Amino acid sequence: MQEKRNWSTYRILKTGIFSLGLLVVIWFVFSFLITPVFGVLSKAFFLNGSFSFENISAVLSSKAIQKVIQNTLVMGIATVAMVNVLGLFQILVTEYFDIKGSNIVRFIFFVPLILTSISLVTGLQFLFNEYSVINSFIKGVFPKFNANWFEGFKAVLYIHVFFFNTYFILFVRTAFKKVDYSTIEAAKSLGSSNFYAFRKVALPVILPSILSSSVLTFITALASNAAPTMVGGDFQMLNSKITLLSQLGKRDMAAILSLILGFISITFMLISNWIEKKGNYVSVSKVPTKIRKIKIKNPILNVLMHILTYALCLIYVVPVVAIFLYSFTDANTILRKALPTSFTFDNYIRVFSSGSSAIKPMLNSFSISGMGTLVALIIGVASAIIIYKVKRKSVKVLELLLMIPWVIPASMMALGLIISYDVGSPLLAGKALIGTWWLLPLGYAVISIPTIVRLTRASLFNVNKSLEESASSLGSGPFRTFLVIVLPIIIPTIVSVAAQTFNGKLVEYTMTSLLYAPKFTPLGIIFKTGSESIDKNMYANNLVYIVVVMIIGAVVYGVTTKLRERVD
Amino acid sequence: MVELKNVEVKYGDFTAVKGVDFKVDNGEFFTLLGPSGCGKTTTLRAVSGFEKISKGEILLDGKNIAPLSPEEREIGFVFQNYALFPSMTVFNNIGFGLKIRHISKDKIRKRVEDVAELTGILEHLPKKVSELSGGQQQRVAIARALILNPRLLLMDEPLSNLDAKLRVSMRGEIKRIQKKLGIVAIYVTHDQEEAMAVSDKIAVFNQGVIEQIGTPKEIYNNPKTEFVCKFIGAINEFDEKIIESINKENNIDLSGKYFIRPENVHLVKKEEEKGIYLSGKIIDIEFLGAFSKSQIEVGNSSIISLEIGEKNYPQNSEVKVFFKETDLLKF
Repeated sequence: MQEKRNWSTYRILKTGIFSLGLLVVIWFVFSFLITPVFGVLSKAFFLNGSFSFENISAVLSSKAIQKVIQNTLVMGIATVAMVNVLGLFQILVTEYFDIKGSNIVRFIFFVPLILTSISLVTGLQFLFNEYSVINSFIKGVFPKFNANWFEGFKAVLYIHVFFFNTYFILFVRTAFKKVDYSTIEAAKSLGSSNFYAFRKVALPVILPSILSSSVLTFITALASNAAPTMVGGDFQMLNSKITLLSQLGKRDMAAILSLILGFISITFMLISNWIEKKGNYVSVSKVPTKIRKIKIKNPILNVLMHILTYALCLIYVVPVVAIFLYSFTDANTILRKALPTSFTFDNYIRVFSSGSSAIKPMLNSFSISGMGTLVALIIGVASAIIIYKVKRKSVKVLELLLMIPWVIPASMMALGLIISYDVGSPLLAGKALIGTWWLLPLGYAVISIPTIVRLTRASLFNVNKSLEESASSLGSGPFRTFLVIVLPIIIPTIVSVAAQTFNGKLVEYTMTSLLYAPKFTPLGIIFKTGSESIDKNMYANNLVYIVVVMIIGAVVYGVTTKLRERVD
Repeated sequence: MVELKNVEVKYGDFTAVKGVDFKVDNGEFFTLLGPSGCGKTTTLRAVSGFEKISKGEILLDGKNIAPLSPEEREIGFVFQNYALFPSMTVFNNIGFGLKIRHISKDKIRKRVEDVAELTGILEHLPKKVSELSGGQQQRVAIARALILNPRLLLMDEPLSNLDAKLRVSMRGEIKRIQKKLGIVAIYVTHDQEEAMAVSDKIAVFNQGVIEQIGTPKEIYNNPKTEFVCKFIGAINEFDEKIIESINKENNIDLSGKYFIRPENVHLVKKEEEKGIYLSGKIIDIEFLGAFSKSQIEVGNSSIISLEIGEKNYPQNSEVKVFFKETDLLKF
């Protein structure tokens, strides 16, 4: 008898929770994914209440805007070309050729995973500034050296090439590991050289991943904002221009530019999908052999490859070590960019002492990024569960809508939020969001949702169906089966994606610069104001922030790698 | 007692199981046997409730359980891949069904230990399931299915992930446990030897229908259809050309296609016994220890003979093949 009563209360509870979840998801998608996009479209296409192309043609005919679009495209292409050259070299020396210490080398090549966005740009700008130790040193050796090189196109490209190659490493390295080594051996047994075997046998296999990663790199480069803003000088790109226009109150122009950026991104996204659909070469071998490292026979070439590899490592390592060391020097040394002579904890004490104004931006970033992650998790995981549980056509539509922020650039989403919630909206019970603490976390949540949905959904569909059937044959209802059997299996994925989201938003720049409320300034903005400041302490604080962000990045990277190993 | 009446399962337009009827008595070990894609697993999953049936009734002790969801059916299910919960210990895996029913901890412990002892995994209870070998995982899966004293134990190719030797010992173990508990067991396999070894009754499936139901002996000795005859055990097929030669040599008048088991075909030097004789040529003799397997060429086809002991014939030597007319099978 008891069981029967429980069953019905439980059923009501279950249905209640499910309907509530569904309602919240639909409200969120409508308010924060669909409405902003329409906000941008209406700003771009409606002039005084009627549809017109006038705005667009006015913007497009501006010489300055044409230059910005051209800059952006050129930078995108240059970045892709250079990233491919660098990335292939990295794959060759870590996975194909036998280079001494390749484990450490590989580890060093992953530095871009912990040093990201504006924290990276701030650090590099400090180190490569006209008056920095490094440049003074080089100038001492080569008097003709232009110490002011870290500005404009060159500086932006430098940052892009060395630190935007994560897609390349992640995609292409995985593909390369799947190359069947026996095919390379076969090529060599038929008389081909190492390089020829790589070019003719291994390269075609990894080519599809090279193409996909190129498209992603291209889209990332187009949307670059921190680099052109901080070190671009006169070299402006679309996103930095959008931020500037929005700050100047010219939201219609910003909306049009963001639309152009969105259009280019979506076009290339579709190309990437098309490439993926065309399919990859699959190993036909019954027993694929793992890649074995090849020794370079020519001694001169061998030495040259080693030197190049280690030099590249220095390029990655020096900034990290230098920033770390500088963060322990006094503020004057930092401001003058002199060679450090003594070390002190002053900067850390200043930032971390309670009640200090320097700790505020960090706390702001933590709380805003934390809330953004939490909201994204609630909506993202709930959506993934709905997609998993309800097999209806309408859910497919929901799934597509949830991917909106994945194809639409962050700056356009941010502008959409500004345009839609400038004044009170009925969707938010009459409240406005501009100037409130909540706008930025919601923005972060919006751009994080697609990844969370995709990964959670994938891990849900990976759960062996027979586990659920087995629980249900033992008398467990669907709701309970989900809680007790399915949830524990997908928790590692959720934790790792949450950690990455939190870490990624900690120093996010594009959304932040458009949406932050001055009362709650986060790190992303402080990096910029601090590096332009003449207050030596503010200048020095930046280095401490970068070190903290790097440590968090490293911890998150380590934890997620461990968790992913456990999932596999 | 379990009874399926005219059960049909459809996937869209495709009918996977077409009008299946069978009855399993209490304490009986019933096997669904057939090649892959024949509908045997679908039928089992229909009994468990994992597949919805589009027609028919499934009666458990006279009550139609077809409308019930799996968790309401009181069945034990053993999966092909065991489906052990990776996040739980062996103890918690086995005790899962009891915990759901809010049984007290002491009772759960007692019951889990009883079942673990029955299945021979008592010492592994505190371990993680990933620490167990394949055979031990299999035992946990069986223990977990038995914990609720199900009226019906369903097993979907439970031995297919084990190596050959373990498979043989585990199938004996499964039969021992089932007989000891006296419950109804329905077992799915594509391995005919396994089916013969464990089953009280076998239902042979082909393309969604049952071709024959019977004890292993009936199925082997009196196959009702050509499919059953060819699927169970080895068989010689006599086409019309061989039948023509038989008719000529023996002065009889057979017509059509016939089948005969290799163990009913003997090699002889002289025509002594009354029966059918056929001349042929030895192509090959495999000595298999207890048996010898001879391949004899007759016209364009060959006949296999399986006999106890060693056979000594030089290759290409002329021999006589002998068999009894009563051993011929015709459909």
